Amino acid sequence: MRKSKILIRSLVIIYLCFGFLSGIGLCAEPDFCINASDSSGGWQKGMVTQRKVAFTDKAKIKSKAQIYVPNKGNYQLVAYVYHNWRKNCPCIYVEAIDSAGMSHAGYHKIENAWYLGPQDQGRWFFISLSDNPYWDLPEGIMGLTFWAEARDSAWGYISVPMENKVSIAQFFLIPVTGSNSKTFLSWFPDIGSGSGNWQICDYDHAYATNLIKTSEKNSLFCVNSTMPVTSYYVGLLSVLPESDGSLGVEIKNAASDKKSLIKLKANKEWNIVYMRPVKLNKGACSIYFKNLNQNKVMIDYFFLIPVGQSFDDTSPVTKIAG
Amino acid sequence: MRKVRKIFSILLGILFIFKAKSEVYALSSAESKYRSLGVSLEKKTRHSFKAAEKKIALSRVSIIKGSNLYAITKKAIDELGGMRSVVKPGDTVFIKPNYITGGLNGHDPVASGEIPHPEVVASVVEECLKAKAREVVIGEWVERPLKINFAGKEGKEGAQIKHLIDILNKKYGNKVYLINLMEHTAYFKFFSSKTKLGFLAIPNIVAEANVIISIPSLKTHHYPSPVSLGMKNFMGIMPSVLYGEPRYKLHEAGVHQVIVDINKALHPDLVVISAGYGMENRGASLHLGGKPVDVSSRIGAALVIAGRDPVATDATAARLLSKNWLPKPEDANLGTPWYVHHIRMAYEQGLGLLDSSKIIIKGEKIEDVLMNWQMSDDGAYPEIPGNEEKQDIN
Repeated sequence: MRKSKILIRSLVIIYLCFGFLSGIGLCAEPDFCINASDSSGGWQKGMVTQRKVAFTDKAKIKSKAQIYVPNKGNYQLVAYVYHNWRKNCPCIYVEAIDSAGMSHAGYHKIENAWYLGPQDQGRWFFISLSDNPYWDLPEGIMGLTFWAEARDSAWGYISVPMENKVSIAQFFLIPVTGSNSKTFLSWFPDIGSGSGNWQICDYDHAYATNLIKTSEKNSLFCVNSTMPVTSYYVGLLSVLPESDGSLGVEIKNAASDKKSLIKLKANKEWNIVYMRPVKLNKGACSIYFKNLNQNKVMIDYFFLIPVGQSFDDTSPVTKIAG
Repeated sequence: MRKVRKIFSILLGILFIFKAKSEVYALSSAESKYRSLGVSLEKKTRHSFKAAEKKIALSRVSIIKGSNLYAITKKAIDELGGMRSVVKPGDTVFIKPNYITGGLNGHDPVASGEIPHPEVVASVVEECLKAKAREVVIGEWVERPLKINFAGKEGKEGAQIKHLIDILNKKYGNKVYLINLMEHTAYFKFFSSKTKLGFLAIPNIVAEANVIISIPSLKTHHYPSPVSLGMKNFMGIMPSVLYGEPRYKLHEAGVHQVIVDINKALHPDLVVISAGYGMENRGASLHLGGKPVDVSSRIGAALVIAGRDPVATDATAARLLSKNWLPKPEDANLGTPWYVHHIRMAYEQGLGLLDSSKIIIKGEKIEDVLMNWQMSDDGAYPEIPGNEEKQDIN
């Protein structure tokens, strides 16, 4: 009898803890994103527009990184890349060796930013590095080797000297969901496509990207999206708070109305905040951001990555931005 | 024993009816989840099946001449049976104008012929709204969102489309959106491709619309495609984040088959070609060496060419650019478009008709509106059957 009471009490305590933690709504870094600055090799480490990066201005200098493939399946490898070239085009190459020893490859030539003004710093780009629509990968650690070269144009194959540095902030492994004739790749709707009383900035000189920002307490911003399949999704938020505060995030869908609180610490660099998986039905979804303090907050991207029909809820649960 | 069997089969019948009914309910409930810029998959699937099953014996293409582009666009659609034969009440319509290279240097992209005339686009939109479309989404994948607006820079003539959309939104109640697909795509849907890519990723907003309309400007094009018309226009929906800017990965895979594959996936419901202005020689932009053409200066008035069969419509537009295109094919009914790889390949792969004897022309006769356009001077035309794999891009 005593034993069962203890068991019930333990269960209640676990439940309460879990409830509290799910209210915070953040989780440890999931497997599908790695910082390029954690790589090793010839690329240097540094900061570009207040983001930690691996960068190089030398062609064919290689670096290596590892990314964990959580489940066997199809994936796209995407990178968040910066350059400020006006004449030539940087080309990023990647070679991957999966846990079964199979090799995969990809590249992406990025058009030069001829359309930017002379005072503009450059631009951040999301680019796919998978040569095919996706790579079929087994579960386990996958090794990545990456390098850069320069081409005379986006069409061209002529090798030219590197015009300047090229930097990588993150690599993302995005699962391709569905099967047979109905396969989908979740993407990153531009945060600026939303609306609300945050300011939408098409191009911010200091951060070389488009973003939304606010300094007003309780200012609200909504981004509408569409989920391709019913699944659990992890939210990734790229945020830069200039002072301490907190941010409310609400993800609303037919299957869920999940509110999360993100504690923000004043910081001089962009952070990625990973949110606890939330089950979302196929179809429309709205994401609301509410600045809960009188502090300046900027967000440059937010996206939801499908992680499957179930997820392991035993992972560590808090990661405070900053 | 017989009685038991009878009861069993009755029960089975009831079960079958119940299951069929519950599938209908499931479909209705999926449709009810429809909301802004996210349409139900089931609806488009139904359209696609219809298009795939349809065997076309004859195609109709309308060629309407006049000075009021808004009016002749409506007339061109009416000649095909009106927009109500294309758009059903409650449909979401995706319209793809060819905006991709418009006005990048700050010039007027309408008078240069780079983009379809705003009045043609607005007229098509209004016909969709009159047919009770639920939403009309006008979109393009623009990789360079910074400082460059749709259809040219603000204040230039191309930006008229925004003004016309505002007027239509006031009149019909905010149902029209002008979007950059790069900003609004939530996911990509994969469609099979005959190229080495195996699949093509198409933005959800396009892939799942109920009705898809292509509105190109009448243009010749630099190598490796002699014309830029209704089918090629869809290259502009393809995501540069996956295929590079300017979509060089699609060219490397074989752009002619890629164009056919995109059109196979989308089954465009209507093509409306704007020919108030157009572009000859190295289209598809001034930047690339294209030369603006004022169509009125060649034939006395503007033209709109429209059709529900994208192959027949593009083939007809290609035929009226010039009667002097060489070499002349042995079969005169196939003519000029036979020497444009993607048009011929689309015909060969069953997307529509190319033979002029099977295309019923409404409105102007081709011989009355023939124009003497320069083809690209980089050897883009003719594309001789058999060298489709040749894809050098420079």
